[in-house]
Amino acid sequence: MKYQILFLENEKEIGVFEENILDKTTSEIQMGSTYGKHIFHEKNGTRITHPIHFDEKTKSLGVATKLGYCKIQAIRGGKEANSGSQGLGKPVIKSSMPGKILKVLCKPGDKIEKGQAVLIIEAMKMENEIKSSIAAVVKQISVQEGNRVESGALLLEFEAEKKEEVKNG
Amino acid sequence: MSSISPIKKVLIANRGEIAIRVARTCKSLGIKTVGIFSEQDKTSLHLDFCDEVFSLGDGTLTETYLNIPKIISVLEKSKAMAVHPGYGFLSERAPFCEAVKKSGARFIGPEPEIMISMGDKIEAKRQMKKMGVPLLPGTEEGLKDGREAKKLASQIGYPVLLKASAGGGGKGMRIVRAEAELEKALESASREAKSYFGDSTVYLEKYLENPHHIEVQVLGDGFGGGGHVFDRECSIQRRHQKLIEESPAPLLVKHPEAKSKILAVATQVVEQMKYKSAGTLEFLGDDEGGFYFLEMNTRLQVEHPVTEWVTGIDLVERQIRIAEGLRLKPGPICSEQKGHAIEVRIYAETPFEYLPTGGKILHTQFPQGPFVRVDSAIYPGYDVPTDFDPTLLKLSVWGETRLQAIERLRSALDELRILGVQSNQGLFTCVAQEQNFIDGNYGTPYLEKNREKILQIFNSEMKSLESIFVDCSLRSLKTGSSQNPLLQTGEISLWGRKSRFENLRGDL
Repeated sequence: MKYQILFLENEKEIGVFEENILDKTTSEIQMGSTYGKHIFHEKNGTRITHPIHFDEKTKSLGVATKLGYCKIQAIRGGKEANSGSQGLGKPVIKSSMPGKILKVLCKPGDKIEKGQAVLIIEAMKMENEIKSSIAAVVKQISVQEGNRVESGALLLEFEAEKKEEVKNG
Repeated sequence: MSSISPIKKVLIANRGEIAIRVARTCKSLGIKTVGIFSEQDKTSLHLDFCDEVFSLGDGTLTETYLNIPKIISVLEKSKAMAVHPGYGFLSERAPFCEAVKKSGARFIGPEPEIMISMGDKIEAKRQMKKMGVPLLPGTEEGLKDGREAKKLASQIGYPVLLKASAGGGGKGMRIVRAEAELEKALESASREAKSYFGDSTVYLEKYLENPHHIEVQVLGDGFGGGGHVFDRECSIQRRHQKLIEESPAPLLVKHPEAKSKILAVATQVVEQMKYKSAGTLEFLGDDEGGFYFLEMNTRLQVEHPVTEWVTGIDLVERQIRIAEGLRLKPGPICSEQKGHAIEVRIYAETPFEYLPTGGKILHTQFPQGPFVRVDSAIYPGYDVPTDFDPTLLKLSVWGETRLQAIERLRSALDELRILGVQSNQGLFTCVAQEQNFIDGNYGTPYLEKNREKILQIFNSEMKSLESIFVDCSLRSLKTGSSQNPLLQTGEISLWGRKSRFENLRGDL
């Protein structure tokens, strides 16, 4: 999973941020009642401390730095673009960020490959491709181009599908 | 000779950091303090610093912090002997000053007559001119025609600025660099002025290519005693609001003659006006050492800490003493401006577009150590309100030299952490590394002119943050998720301050 550092005016995709850092923080923050969480970075004998907290609403990690307060946020929609648990309802894609629907790249009935982009959401002036994490047929698209969406909003529903319908070969 | 009549209790007619600032000095002087607050603002930190607090009820600013009758009734109820207005709000409103006096208390500031005359920009300029204070060369009345404009412009010297008399926001304004352009520019400026403001009157004044905002702090006793308390430069601004202030002014360091002249002029104004309390004369300066009166602020300024750093004078203490009847020797308040001080205003706004932010402060870590001062009213758990000014904190530092002050500023900004609310901290972190700023080579267009350079510094700073965060996450991968050394629980003791505040909130 890739993450980006977001300063409101200066956003940027940054290489390899693995998922642990977010998940771990989430659980710890939710359990604890304070914001007493820090990222400690130790290198060459120096330690840099960055107070952090997990923002439930935007699913991002807030970090206080010398450049001010910024957010580290997942890009490429990945985590939220999972299918629902098997047997439980229909597979859907929800928005992982608040933003504006810039483009809808598919229509009902389309057969989507795993990893294929289905929507583009503009958030914090950045275009974010929302990709499907499964291969499935689109049943319904809940948004239109130009719509504003909140984090967690339903974007798209797939047809309930038999598992592993198309495997290569 | 009037004698000293001690003040035992002061009502602070303000909120936030400046109310705390005033309360601190009062406390050190053994003076009791009375705080006021609006119901929406009852979590403001200044209430923790006052001995007594009174609610002004619910409502808008006009109904609360700007409500003179309500504040006077608190004054009478609390039996405070004097009122300190801070800056902003009612600090320059003569009716408030008069109402305070009428109720029998003292106003810690100048006389209402001076507030009125200095509050009127045209009248202020007229009085300053009479006292020999230089004004920006230009016409006092509207231009009749192109011929008159040409004559005046050649007297003043190009470039000149044409300005709609009813104008504002750059409408009806033209910079003219040569006589050949003048007539056409005058026509279009008049036309624009007519269509925007319904009044085609256009003035002409000298245009400064790289203006500097220079100001002189003054203190007077109201009897002609007192004088200047040295200079400041506040050229780094956005939307005509100051972001960085320094003392001494780098421009005047380059022009020592202009410096002694501007300071002498300020002292003379105090003497001739019989100015009372703290005030500031603001000037436009140019790269050649010229300076021109802009306006006079009849109150304590936001940026007064830099003056306190280089003079060792507590300006609030001096204001209170003057209100008690202290007489000052005529002339400069102190002989030496020691070292160099810089203040930055950390606002709840984005660093480059100046867009307001806001939200809840989750955690703060203020810089500490030698020669660092923080004036702030934020604390963890505080919701930054949107209806007051966006100041989160004022950070000021002192150094024996300007360079040392800049180095200390950098390291203080490096220490500062504000979690939860985006601020313009990053702008200062970068400006403090930018060469023109380091060289003291800037005027009011600085931020626009150096935008690219500052952004470049921002980007490289961001790269180093990235490498820190990436490194953190890679290490967390190696050590596994259950025993992650990079994410540690904060010790409760570290949060003692926070919980203290939260408990206090609970009591309100």
